Amino acid sequence: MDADLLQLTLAALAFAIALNIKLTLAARRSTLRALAPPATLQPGHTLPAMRATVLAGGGRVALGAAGTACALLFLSSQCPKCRAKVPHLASLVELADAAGLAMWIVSEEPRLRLASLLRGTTLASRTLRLGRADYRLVNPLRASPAYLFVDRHGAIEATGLIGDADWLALERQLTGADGVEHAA
Amino acid sequence: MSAAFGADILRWFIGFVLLAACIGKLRTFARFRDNLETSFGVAPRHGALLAPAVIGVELLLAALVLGPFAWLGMAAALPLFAAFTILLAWRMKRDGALRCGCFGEAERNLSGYDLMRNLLIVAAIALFLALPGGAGVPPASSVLAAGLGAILAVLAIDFHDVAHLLVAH
Repeated sequence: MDADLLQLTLAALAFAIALNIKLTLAARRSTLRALAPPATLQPGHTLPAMRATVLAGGGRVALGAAGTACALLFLSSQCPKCRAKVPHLASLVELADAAGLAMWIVSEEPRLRLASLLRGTTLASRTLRLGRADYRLVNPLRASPAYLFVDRHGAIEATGLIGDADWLALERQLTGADGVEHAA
Repeated sequence: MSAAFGADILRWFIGFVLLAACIGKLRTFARFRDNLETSFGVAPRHGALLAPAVIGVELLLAALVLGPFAWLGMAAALPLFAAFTILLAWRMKRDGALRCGCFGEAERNLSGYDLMRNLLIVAAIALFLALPGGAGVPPASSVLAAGLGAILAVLAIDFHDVAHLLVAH
């Protein structure tokens, strides 16, 4: 066989080996991700530091930074319950702002879907978009409508579904102008 | 194996690594920019400039290394990788855990294996610079060197996973 042809054949084999290694490692990572149970954030855990983009205006917001207590709300445009809760949340966000609690809707969905979900409200300025990997860290089960209460030190105070006992307690405190120190 | 062929393998290896670093950072650009702030303390205003600058420098070096100015590109890549490695080692020692997204990896902190990978890259560049420059290698041999360089590049980029697999089994 011609020497050049032999070298080109070996080169093709080498590229195939490189591709095989790459694909094998990618398949292994995917399998591990699928097998590993998602680690949900629980009370006492620290919210991982990450930066999110505000849906309206594109500003950047640091999540997990110490300073202000916040409530992160997880809504999905595919969930009818979430759509039903949006008008009520719009008024609740204003009350939370007045009480010193930063309330953010957090999503990984595309802008258009979010715009459709929030249509008719001013919640776009209170909505943060995260990349898929960061979203997996804060809401690995993709629960919705769900929430995370984070205290001023960045620690998780409570987590659950919007409408559960902790959520209703927060609602009562906000609508009763009761302050939010005990809830967040 | 001639020194020129060995040098050509190293040239392709480093060129592919630099290209992969550019592509990985571009694919997860927002995360890389944020990591500059959260892991390296770069102010957001500066991060918005530094992130594309780092990618641009890596792309330029890849073009030099894979183009006709390989020695110049390698000579410039050596202090770049050495500086990255020293910076990462210092931040890891100081903060314990940090994320880089240097090759687009998203969901894990940097490990000692990543530092070892960088040291191997620095050693490969130094070896290339130490090898005597020759008249080059024939095109068919250079294609073979590219294939072997690609294997080295894949192993280097995924060194963390490869090392874990080797240690675990």
